[in-house]
Amino acid sequence: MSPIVRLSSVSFSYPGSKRKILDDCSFSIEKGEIVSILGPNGSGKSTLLNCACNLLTPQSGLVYLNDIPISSMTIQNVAKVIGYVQQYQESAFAYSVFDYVLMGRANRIEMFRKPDSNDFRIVENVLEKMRITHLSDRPITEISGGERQQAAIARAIAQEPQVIFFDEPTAHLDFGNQISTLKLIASLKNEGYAIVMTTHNPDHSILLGGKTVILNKEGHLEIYDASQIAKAELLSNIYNTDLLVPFVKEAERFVCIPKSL
Amino acid sequence: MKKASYLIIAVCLVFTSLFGCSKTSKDDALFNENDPIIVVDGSGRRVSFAEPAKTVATSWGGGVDMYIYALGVGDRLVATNSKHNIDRLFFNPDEMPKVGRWVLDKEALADIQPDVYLHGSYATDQITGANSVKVRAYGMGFHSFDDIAKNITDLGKIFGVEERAAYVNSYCENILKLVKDRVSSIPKDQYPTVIILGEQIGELAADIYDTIDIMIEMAGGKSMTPDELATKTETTVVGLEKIFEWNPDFIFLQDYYCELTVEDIMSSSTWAPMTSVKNNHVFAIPSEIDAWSKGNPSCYIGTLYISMQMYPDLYTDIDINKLAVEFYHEVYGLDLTLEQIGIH
Amino acid sequence: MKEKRFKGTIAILLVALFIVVIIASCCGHYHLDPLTCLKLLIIKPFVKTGDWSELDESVIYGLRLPRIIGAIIVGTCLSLSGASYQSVFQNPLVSPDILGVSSGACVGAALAILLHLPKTFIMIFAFMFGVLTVVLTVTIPKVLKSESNIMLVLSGIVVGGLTGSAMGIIKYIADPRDELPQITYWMMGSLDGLSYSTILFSLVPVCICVFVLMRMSWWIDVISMGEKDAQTLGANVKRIRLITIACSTLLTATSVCMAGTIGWIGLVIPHFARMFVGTSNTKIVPTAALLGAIFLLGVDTIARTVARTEVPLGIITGLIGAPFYAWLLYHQRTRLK
Repeated sequence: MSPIVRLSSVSFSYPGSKRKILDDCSFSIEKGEIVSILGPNGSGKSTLLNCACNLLTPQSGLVYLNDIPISSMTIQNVAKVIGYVQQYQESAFAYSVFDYVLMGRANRIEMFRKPDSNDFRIVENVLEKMRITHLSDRPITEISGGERQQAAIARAIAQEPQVIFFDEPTAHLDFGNQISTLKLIASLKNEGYAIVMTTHNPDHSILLGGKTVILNKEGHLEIYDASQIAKAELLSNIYNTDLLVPFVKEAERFVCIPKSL
Repeated sequence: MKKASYLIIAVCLVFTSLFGCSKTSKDDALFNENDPIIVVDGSGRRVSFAEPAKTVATSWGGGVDMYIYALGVGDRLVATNSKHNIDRLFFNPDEMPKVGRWVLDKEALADIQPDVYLHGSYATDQITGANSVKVRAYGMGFHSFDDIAKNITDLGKIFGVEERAAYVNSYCENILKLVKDRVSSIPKDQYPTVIILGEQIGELAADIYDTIDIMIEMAGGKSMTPDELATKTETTVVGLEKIFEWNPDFIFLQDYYCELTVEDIMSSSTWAPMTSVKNNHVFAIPSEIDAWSKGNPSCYIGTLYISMQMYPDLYTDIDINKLAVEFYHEVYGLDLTLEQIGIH
Repeated sequence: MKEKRFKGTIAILLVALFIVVIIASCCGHYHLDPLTCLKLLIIKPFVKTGDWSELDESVIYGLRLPRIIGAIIVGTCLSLSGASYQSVFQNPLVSPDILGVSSGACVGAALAILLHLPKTFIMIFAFMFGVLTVVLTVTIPKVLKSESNIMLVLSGIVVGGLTGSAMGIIKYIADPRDELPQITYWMMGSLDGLSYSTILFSLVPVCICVFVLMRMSWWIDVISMGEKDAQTLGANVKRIRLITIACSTLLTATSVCMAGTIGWIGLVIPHFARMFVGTSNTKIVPTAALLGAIFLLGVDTIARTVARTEVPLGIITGLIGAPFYAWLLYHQRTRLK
């Protein structure tokens, strides 16, 4: 089984800058896998995602989707494989949530055509599944940040992709919503989607299980699987802070928390 | 007490400033009562000269120059921005110095220091501007035959060619007299309606630079231009529908810059039901060499031309071709062909 | 917005357009009573003569009807172009002149007026210069190897400055007695003297562009999400943006060369349309087209009847458009960022 996404020795720096954001990075995402990407601020987590879906072109190295080089794929075909939920959902115009989610069907619609009844049905189903049907007619600019993110996730699902990228999905949510989002991501994985998620909270990595990719400020990445990640020294190194990773019986899992202040 | 004194001071200031204002605009800045040559320009300012002007400049190309050629002093023209066909017969426009294009370039004027600067009298900025660099300025009116005759007479005094001026005036006056005489047999209420079209579609040639209405009336026509529009400086675009509503008996086109040509009008199915088109009364005023409707001596021949198109029966003994050629010879000292004048 | 309500809105707008056409054909400086006007419009195509004069016929068919058709076309062009530009630049405050097509067309027309070229050349110059200006605006970011919208807008500002200076030079050279008023009048917009041949020629680019924009309307929605989002959704942003800009530019250039520059329509009408039918371009395109046509037709009718001389269209659209826009912004202040 070829991996859905495979980065092979990818290096990237922004034009005009000498600093290598990504230096010789390789990793792959298999079907149904969850991958979290950890790293300190400015380590290039978003850049890694953007390279993986062809929003940025690496200076060297290659990206493959299902073994096909991404540079030879059409934009629509890339969108059939990867759905992307950005960190911020901004819209200059007040589209209804329904219309917003409908845009997820763009990867299957021809240039001079519009969505058809089949597309409408799929969007209705996705809204139902995400339990946001009540938001259908509300303008995307007038709902809360958390609701907007749910709409963005619905839109990604409407794309019917193989893998969904999340860029810091919990960053702006309240605590309760953070947990709900993580639950949602876990359930998506169970339905067969591969997930790639950048996060600044290492505890989320432990919660979700799956592979963890640690990116450092020099642009190098290391890959750990679920069993290897729950190590205090490892996680403390990332953030240059003392962290503890005790096993908490009530939670039935390892937990990553800061020491007492 | 304090308030009253402030009021008195304010009133005094207002009075003195008003008084002062009227005083400065009354005469030319270099006016001297003892000068032998004294003229009153188009806006009532007195201008004086110690001796006839040897050099003249203008930034009002196209209106003023014609007078200078008519008086036979074209060689005294030291700066102008005009470059119409007639000007090219007297100088090379590319080599002629300029003191601005309509708006006065004071520094250039100060540099050239002509004996007199000519401009339209309504343009007070230009006139006072010339005075500010110690150059005498004469403002010319363009809105009636009296204005034109006065310009010729005064300029004759200024340039010391009064005899020439008198001759030109009498020649032109004779043409006007000819028209008046012929037209006198037509009662005023039978005058045909006339409009003269300007450059843009739907525009009338009727503004402060033109003598249109006077010419039409003199020629025996009734001008359709509403009085309020006739003295404005802005464009008078009344729209085609208004022109169709008036449905004048005669339509003239001001000059060859007009967007609508005689062919356009005569061949258009939209214009076909107009009285003027049906009777073949659409004419272009000759303008190849110079404009005949713009407040300079050529308006006299322009008036005759218009009258002759309106009343061909009254002028069966007059050959306009011969007369036009003679006009340019007598008035401007030029020997031109009909092609050059633009008569077909 | 529900499909039924949308169809109802379009139907109402079509009826409104029809009514305004009838009113417009009965108004004008040429005095013709409404009954005769209507007879001329409805009966004339079928009979040769009636109780009207040849001149009456000429005025209706030769003067008023071309203006009415012209106003509908220009109103449609400007509002569609405005709506599309607003989506491409993800900014509802954008007007069709952001890339400089109107200011470039002005330079072209002014040049033609300065050279005393006949009217056809004024239109050709206006069209060419308008399109060339946009090409210049679009090429600058390419040369600088940037693909973002912001570079495009900045480039538009630079090119706008250039065209502004060019206009300044031309106006300085122009004869203030005839050339300058002509240039000024042209710039402020007028449909007087519009000929059927001009209308026919303009119908070709207009129909093509309107058709393309209608078919692309959903994709224009997608790219209004922003370059990043649109690409990850599967939209070829570059291609869609290029097609949209090209169509909008052609529409604006055509309307400018037919009627001079008329502001505010491209800015205000799309907002108005959004108030009626929501934000989706699939619904806005037909709505804005109808609203723009109705609006400009009304404006042109006012322009040629209300004063003794023809009032330039740009003045009226400004007088109505600016306060209306202020009201719209107030009304929608919660919806806009």
